[in-house]
Amino acid sequence: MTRREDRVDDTALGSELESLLSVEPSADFQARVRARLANERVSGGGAGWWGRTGWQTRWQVAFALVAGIVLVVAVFRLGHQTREEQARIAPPVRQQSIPPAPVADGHTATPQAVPPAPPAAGDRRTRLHLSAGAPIQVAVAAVPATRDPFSDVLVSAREVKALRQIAAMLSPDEKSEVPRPVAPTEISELVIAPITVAPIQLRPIEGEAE
Amino acid sequence: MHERIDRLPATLVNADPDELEREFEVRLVESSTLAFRVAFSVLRHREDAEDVAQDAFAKAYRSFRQLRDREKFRAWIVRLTWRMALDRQRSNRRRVTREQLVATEPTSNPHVANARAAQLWQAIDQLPEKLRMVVVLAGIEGHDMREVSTLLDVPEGTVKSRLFQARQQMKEWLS
Repeated sequence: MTRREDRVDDTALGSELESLLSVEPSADFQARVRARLANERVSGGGAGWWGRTGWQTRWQVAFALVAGIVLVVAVFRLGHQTREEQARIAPPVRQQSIPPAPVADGHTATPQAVPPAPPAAGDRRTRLHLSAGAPIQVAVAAVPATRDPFSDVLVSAREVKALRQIAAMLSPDEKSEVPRPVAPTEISELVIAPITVAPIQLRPIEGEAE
Repeated sequence: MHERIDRLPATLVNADPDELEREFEVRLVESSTLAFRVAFSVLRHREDAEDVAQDAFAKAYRSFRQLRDREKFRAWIVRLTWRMALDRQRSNRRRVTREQLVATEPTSNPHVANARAAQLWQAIDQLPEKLRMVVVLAGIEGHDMREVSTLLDVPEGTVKSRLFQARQQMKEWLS
């Protein structure tokens, strides 16, 4: 087949394809497309901005929403957990009363509750009110939520006992059950044995000629 | 035909909805037949082709702010229609297979009743998709190489070589 015949064939094939593809849509096709678009406008108007945005924007917005919800839930749960932990470590009772130490005449003072000091921001100290004959009141400032939960342990039993002893010693002419400390015994004479130093005898090293 | 309509200014970024509507109407008038023919070349069924072209325009309408450029719009609508027509063809085939029916619609269509036309369609169907698309677009509305390359977003040389290959294969099959 020559080039000219080829070209003729191409032209014929091209025109055949053109006539094959010259199909016209129905007369009301454009009208139906317009009606469809009008429907889209009506239904899309209810969707608002969401309906007009592309899928990429929708994904971004959806992702941001999900991330926000997860963050809020995480913060809420963390805060709740911290509050529970603090409540478990530090019980809500913030005032302890120690029985009064006996006074000299055998009476005991009426316990008077010491109101807890108003909580200061960040105040975590324990306030002790001590007076002879008066009941020992340990008022603890309300401890706000703190970072170190162990500081909420206020006064141990041994410390309470020690405080009671100190209060008893401070009161004059007191007949206390607590034994007073014994005065240290004096050392009259200190005898130290003499230290004797023996001279070192040098011996010749083996094999060394004299 | 479409060369008569000038490219709309690309600076109209913040156009009001009415202006967009007017622009879309222009695009619809100039590209609806093209979209229909592209769909028909795949489906060989008038109603199906119209449905697919209609769906493609509905999609284009939603994204029209990004497709206001005339050439971009035509290329986009052609590719979208082609893809949607292929999807429809696959689902039609699945349905026919499921129902165990012989597809009678294409052969009953007056456009393929002619024996020669049936041969041509068969030859087109046998082409690989890339060649088929070039042949179809070159056969619609007398598009030249440049127009086909714009519609497919491929170099003009590629279009030329694909068209040559396609015609050679078709001639072999038709002879």
